[in-house]
Amino acid sequence: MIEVTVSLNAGLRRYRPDLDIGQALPLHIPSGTNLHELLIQILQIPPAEVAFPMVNGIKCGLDQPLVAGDRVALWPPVAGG
Amino acid sequence: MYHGYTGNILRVDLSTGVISRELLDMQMAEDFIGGRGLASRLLCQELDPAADALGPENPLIFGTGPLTGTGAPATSRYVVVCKAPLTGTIACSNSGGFFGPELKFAGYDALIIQGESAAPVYLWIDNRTVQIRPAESLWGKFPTETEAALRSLTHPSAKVACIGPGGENLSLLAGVVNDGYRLAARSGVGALMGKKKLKAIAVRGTGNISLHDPQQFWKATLDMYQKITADPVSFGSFRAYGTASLVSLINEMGAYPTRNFQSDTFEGAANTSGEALVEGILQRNRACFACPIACTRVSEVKEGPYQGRGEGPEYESIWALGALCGVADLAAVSKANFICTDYGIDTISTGATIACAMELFEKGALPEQELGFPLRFGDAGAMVRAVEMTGKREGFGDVLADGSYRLAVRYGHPEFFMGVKKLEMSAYSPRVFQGMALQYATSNRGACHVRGNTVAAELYGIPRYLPPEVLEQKEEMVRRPFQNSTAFVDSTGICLFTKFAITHREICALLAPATGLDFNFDRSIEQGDRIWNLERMFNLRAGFTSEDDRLPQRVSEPAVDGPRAGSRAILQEHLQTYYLLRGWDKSGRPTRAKLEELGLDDWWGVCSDT
Amino acid sequence: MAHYQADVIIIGGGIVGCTTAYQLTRAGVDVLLLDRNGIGSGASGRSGGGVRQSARVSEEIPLAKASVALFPGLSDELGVDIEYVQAGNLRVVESFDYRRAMQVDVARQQSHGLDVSWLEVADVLELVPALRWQSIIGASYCPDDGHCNPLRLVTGFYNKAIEGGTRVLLNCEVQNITQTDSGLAEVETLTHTATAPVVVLAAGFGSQELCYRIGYDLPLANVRYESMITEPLPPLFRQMFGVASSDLFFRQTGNGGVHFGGGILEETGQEDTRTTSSNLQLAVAHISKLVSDLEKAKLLRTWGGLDPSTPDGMPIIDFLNDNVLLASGFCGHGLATGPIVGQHLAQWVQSGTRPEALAPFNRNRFDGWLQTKWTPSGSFAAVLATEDTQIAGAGDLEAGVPFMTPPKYEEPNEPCGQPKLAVNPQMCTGCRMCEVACSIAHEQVTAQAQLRIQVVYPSDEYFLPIVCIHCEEMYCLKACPHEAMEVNESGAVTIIRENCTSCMECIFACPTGGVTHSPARSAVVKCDLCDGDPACVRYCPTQAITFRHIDSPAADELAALMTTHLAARAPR
Repeated sequence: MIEVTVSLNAGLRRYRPDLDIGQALPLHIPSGTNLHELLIQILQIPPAEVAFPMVNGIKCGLDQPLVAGDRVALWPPVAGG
Repeated sequence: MYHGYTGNILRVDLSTGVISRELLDMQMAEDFIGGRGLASRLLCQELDPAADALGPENPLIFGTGPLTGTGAPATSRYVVVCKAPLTGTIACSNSGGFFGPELKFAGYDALIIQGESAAPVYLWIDNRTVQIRPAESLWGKFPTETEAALRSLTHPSAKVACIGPGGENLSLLAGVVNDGYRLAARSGVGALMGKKKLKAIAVRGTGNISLHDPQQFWKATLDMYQKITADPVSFGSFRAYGTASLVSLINEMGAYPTRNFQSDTFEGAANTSGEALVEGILQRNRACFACPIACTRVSEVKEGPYQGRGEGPEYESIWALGALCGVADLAAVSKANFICTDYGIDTISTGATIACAMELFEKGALPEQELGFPLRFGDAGAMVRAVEMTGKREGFGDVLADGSYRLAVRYGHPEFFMGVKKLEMSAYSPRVFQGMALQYATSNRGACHVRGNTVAAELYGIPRYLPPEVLEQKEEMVRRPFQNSTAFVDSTGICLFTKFAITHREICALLAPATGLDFNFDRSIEQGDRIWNLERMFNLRAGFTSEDDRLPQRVSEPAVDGPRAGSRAILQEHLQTYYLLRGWDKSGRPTRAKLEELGLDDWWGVCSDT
Repeated sequence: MAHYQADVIIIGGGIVGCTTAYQLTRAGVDVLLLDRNGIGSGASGRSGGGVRQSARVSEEIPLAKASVALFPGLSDELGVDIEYVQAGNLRVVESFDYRRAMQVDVARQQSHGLDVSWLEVADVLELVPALRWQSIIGASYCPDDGHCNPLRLVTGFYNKAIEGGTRVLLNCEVQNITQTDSGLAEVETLTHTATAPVVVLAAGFGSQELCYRIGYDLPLANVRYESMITEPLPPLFRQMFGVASSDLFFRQTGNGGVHFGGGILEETGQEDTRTTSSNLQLAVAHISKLVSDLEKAKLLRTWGGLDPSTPDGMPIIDFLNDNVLLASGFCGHGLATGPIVGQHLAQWVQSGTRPEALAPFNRNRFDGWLQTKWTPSGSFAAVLATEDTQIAGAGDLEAGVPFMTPPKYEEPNEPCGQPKLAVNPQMCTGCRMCEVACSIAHEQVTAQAQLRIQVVYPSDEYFLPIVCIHCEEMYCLKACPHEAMEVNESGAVTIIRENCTSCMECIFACPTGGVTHSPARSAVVKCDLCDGDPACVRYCPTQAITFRHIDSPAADELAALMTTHLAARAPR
């Protein structure tokens, strides 16, 4: 098992409404889990809702395997100007 | 017959009191479309670019696009064009709301205000009846008060664009405020309006905008409308979180400039995020004319020392008044934002100027006795106080009101000015977004994010994803799908925010049935290119050179912390490629061939012989 | 594209155009007359019918005198009864403030040789017993003045012109006037071109746009007045009446109807001939104060018209270039002066020299028009009347709209009856997409024909689209006196166009502002539910407007809210 943290932002906050804004959720997950598996099996968030998966501040694909200490942050489609 | 266009340009000379009307030159409309393009073209024939930006000869031009007011989604935009008091470049500030459509309903594609009045006046445009009226009683009023007073002086449903006290006291940060809360903010256009002693323009229009092919137009409108309402970005996130949803995302990327660009990550971002705004102070959404998105926030801080009510704050305002000043208090940021609106000054430049003052103070270059109080990063109270002083030009605010370039130079540290061509950068770090670095450096109005918001490609993947750190293809990307395309969109009267959902081709599919002119994709890119080159020529004539296409030294040095520590803005490598792609010579001047290709040679002369 | 040639082209089939055509064809000139609508469709046909010389500016008195001298013979000359009644004109003074001013003005007019005198109230009542003595101080009286039927006058000249050989193109809007290489004027319409050495531009307010295209900024303001006519009544008076302190006029027509109007003059700045309930009510109240026993008379119809007005109250009759002779801006005096102006214009066109009588109406007097002169003291001497006055009622309106909190809106418990339009102000973002959708669906133009639905902004807390909510009571349908309303398949009350007289009873009857008058169609309009698929509902981005079953308490609440904000639905 490895430990990662996950933060949910904007519209995704409804999946963990008890988390404070900006608060990260510490999770123990099997090593080798990728983002897609994290979303479906652990967080139970439809991957289609996630537009910006960030690992340690870098946008990456959902097939990215996670390693211990990774900081995962997720956003639905957002934009601004 | 004019379709889409009203065919009229209204000219008001405040020096002589002469009001006249001119017919729109349709060839000019085909070449420059309307809005930003047409108004810039008009400016070029009205003004010698080398003239004094605050002189009476500098006209203030309000322009609408052929789509403004037609009812196609988000067609609310108008532009204010002049030579910019803050920067000396060409200025084109853009705003939505209901003022632009009303100007069209009154029957005008553009409004040229020239000369200067000796005493405060306002302009009352009631369809074809136009009057210059005294405005002593309005002088000093906030925009919302001005609007209410004008509605009782003119007509209950008049739409008003005005300046706040900031514009009156010639603050170079001042913008033009319409519909009470919305600013055509950047470049200091409000200072010129203040210099002309023109407090406000009230418009009432009851006319229709004729369409060339209403059936086709309506069909295109519905297609576009359905696309926007189905789009998760435009309709989902804008609706729910406004632009502020970006705060946490950009900060997570380590691209959120903090403390006058000393860092790119802000530890207090969560407190000032879009989520905090929605869950804390948001009252409701409101929309501009015919806009299904309704991204405007109506917000209210109900308790504490920073009570206030108004619209916003938007992403850029939250950043400039928050992270850039190190302030992590949403109530204080909102209050500062409301004050900026009341005084009619640009939130980005105001926040950046205060951040610059904070750095000067902390580094000992700016003595406390001149400031009157300590101004440190993170001090919310001092930041709000400085914003109010800036609006009033009171005490040290008199210096702040002229922007951060003049401030930094005055205290001997021009390197603390974080901008290009005297305009402060916005909330995307050029150390991370290489496209933005090039865009900031080459934008015709100085470092600005809306002349070519490459973040769309470098983060959202619109039109396609190019990671922010990648250098290849960035020059072409900045030039064509961003700068040229934005020049086109800004000229049509449609809101740039629709671009997240709809394409260029779809905008052309609206323009053609609206105007009956031959608008298509290829031409639209050429039109955008023509407008960009026109603006560039204006700046070159105004004395700018390729030496001005450069970023502050600080962002060319590696970031010290955050997820992208070590990244830096790499400009020199792609500036020459960019010039080449643009058809410019090595010193950034359009070539004879380029200008001939765009049809700009005959009236403007040729700038480069190579 | 058909092409015509003529000796003279006349643009505008009003009184000036028709008299000029008549006089020219009589002299054997080949004339082509164009009008964008029909004969007398502009100011001439909508006129109050006065034929007077009194109460004119001094320069215009000779012209008016000469014209009035023609009127007694016109019925015979034109072969049609123009219902001319030469029984005098009274300009009624209602308050002592105006008495002195009127007496001074009478003296001025006398000095120009006009038979006009001041009558004290007793003399006025002796002349016109039907007036209420309580409301009158006195009147100026010119016995040679009178009135006629404007439409008969215009069509009389028109028919004579056609008999004489004038060619006519109606429903044919002139787009531009240019000059050909050979020095002729060329007139372009969408379907025709025509050339002639001379063009007489007598298109009323429409002249402004054409002047503008040939480089002359014609100084016209558009003043709207509103008229109405009652059912035939027994004879009350034969004179023409005006009121000194307002713009009310009235007369009794040949068949007994009392034709009156004016009330309030409003600069509309565009070609807007709608009538408004507020102005009509003012005129009705005003005439009821002056004339006995008029309260019970039924109104037959109402209409609006425009006086193209110049800054000094006199027309502009002058050549604009080698070809174009402008005769416009008659400020409401065209009907009376038209017959003589036609003679003079015909003479000018034929002889090439300006008749002396038209000298005061040259265009040079407005060189530099549209200028609002500004002086350093801050005072304004505008060429147009531009007093910095408040719009009547604007202040009241703001005070009359309370800042109320929006009502709680709940889904109905039990659906009943037909589905209806329901509005939720809390969900409305104020984008006005509903107005756009509605106006394109019904009028094929954008936004401003928007009267079936209109968003009002009571505060920045909530926004309210006001539209017919299809109430059970159907006040509008019950109030309609002409069987011009019916319920369609979607359950909406709709208007039967052929029967509607625009009497506006339905507008007055509706408590929520669901029925209005459209300037675009010059007709009463209301929501017809778009055959069961309302455009406003389809394109509301927030579902603030829905089309569904709604229970009566919710409907009542909505009706009450709309009634509260009805004042904000002022004419835009």
